[in-house]
Amino acid sequence: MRRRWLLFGVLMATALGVASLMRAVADNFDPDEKHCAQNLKRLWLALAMYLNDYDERLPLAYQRLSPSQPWQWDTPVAVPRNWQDGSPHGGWTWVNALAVYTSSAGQLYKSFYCPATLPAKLPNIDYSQRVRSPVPISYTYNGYLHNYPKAQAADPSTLPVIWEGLGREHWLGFAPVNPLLRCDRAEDKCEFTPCTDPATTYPLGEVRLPRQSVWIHRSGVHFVMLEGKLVTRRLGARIAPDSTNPLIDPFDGYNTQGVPGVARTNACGHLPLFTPQ
Amino acid sequence: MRTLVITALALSITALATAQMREVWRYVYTPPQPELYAHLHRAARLADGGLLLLGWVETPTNGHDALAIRVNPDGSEAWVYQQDGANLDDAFVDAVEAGGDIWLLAQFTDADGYLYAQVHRLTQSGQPVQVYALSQMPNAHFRPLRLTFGESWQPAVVAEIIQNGGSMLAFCEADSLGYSILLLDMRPWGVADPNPYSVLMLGTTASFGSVDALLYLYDALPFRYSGPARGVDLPMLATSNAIDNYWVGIQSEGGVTGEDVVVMDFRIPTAVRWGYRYSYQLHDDYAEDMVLDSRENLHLLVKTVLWRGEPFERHTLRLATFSPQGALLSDTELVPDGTSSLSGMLRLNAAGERYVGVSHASGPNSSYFARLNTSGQPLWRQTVPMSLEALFPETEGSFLTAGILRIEEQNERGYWQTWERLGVIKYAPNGDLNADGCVDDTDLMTVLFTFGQSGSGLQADVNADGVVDDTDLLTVLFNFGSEC
Repeated sequence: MRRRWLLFGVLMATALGVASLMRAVADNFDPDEKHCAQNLKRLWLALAMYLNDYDERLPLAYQRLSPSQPWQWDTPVAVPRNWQDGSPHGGWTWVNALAVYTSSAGQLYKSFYCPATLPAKLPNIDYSQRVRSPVPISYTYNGYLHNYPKAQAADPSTLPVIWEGLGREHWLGFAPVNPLLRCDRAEDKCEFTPCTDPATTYPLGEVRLPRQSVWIHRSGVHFVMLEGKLVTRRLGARIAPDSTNPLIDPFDGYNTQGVPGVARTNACGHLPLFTPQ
Repeated sequence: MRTLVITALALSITALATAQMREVWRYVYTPPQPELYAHLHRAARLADGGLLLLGWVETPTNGHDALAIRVNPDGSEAWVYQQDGANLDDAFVDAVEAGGDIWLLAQFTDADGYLYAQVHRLTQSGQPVQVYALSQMPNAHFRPLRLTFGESWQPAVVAEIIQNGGSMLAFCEADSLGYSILLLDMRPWGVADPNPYSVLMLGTTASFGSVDALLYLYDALPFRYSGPARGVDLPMLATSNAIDNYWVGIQSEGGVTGEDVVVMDFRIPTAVRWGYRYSYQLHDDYAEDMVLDSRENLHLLVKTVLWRGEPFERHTLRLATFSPQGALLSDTELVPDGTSSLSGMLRLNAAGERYVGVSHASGPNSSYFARLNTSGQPLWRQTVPMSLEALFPETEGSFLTAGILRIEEQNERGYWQTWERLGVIKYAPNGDLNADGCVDDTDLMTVLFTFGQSGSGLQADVNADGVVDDTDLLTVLFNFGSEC
């Protein structure tokens, strides 16, 4: 049957003189991977300049409206910070803080987007009300490093600072953070503290489980470490009930689509692979 | 000893820093506002020798618009086709030229942020003739991958449907009733379509604890590959030379050998003629590119991450060549030391000469393309001032390169600013065979002494057509004395 269609098709093609079917010669199925990896390297370079300007203290992951109020640890910050209404207030968390270091010419946000990811609009946001384009953000910041002194990081070569922590997804107009610190007390300092007793440790940790698959690229998921090394890890290498390697993968319980079911946290809700101490 | 060999190789490559090429023309796309960024997703050759650049461009308030640019063979801009979908995340992702028209595959986003697809049919002059809209499922992404043509010579789209984190392949083909859609339970990664009637769809499916590669040809039984480590096997590359014969590269977990590349000569419906698991000294290997020459030798470009002392110490590019029977004929290190985002592409010209394009090698000239000799070593290399995304060998030894250029401009206040611009550069041979910066009697003698020789990798074969002849001689003569 197929052969018959084939002959028909060839005849049709010849008759119509439409035999040219041109396209790119080679077909790499993941052409965006190098772009996505290179972005992380650029973001690290921006981070290095930022640290130089801010006394080696890492960018904020969360914002708060005033010192008397708790940090809005679970409220993503708009990027660019004024895209909805043009308001000049607030929003100086990690993406908006690093963007000015990524380009000398105003192309500020091109390095925050990996084209291999799928768009996601945040719920309860009116995207039709805007004065600027909301920026797509594919990378997540390690929220344990919120305003953290770089010098206190035990091993910068193995500490992820920015990574593809949403899986195969990007957020339109907001800066994702993953993992997070639950900084819900106005009176206490929002800074990572090693877990001793869950009843007394503050802040506790939270993890955002990716909603999309972590099988983003052929080689895995990209991380950039605090000292600048780009590392690629194969997340979701085992499907439940088999377990993934806890030295590599912060998640486990993967379904057959590469979406994780659980995060490997300690008693305080911290992901050990992301803790600075 | 090994360090010595690597050092010598690096020095020999450095000595080839100047190429036999000159820049003929340069096209740079400038968006309506200078700070807007345009991204190149794919470049396609057109029948007239021009290029079609596909991707997106930022807009001040509407996110990304889909962008297609036709560049004429002389480097001038023929037209720009920019389309805004209903929402923010738009792009052109593929194109074919067929039936005298140009067909573009567009990815748009709807008001809820979900992807959907359209096919835009344009005349050669860039005028839209028809727009085909593909309907989508509610609350699901419809992510278009490739545009091809079905058995009745109608446009067909290979797409991925993503709902609640799960993926399916959708093959949509136009018919008399609109279009038909075939759904398959696999996550698609890409397609190989050597002709309109044999579209091989490649993806993954997971069960029993492992992620397996799945190869599906329309109307045939699917073929499934699961490596012995029972880990993740992703199809990454595919090429073909005939209707029913495919060569597939699979990124495969190899257990003690880390990441490997499995290459297979695959004949439809289910016969594997040969397969080879490539692993360099137990290090991690990633499939970069693959080409098939006219004798059916398969050339595989691999990025190898060498673990020594600590993880990810050295990133290299290697070129492996396999015989038509699947024997490993050669395995050569092309780039001894690159950055962690090192990548490469492999090309053949019409005469079967091999070229490699490299991005993010170490050093100031981090992107280049090079012509390879028979042993896989560079005859020369040409640095390019761009992040190399596409490379097309042309006739008479010339090249089209496309990518993102870094351009320094002075603003109205006198400050220098660096912009990233989508662009194309054409290179052509300049006759400087010994790459000493001057076309002189040494170059002329090289051509004369090898005049009439044929074969691949000949230095004096300026136009890379496989023979040293009067065309090569004339190239040297016409450029004689230049740059001296």
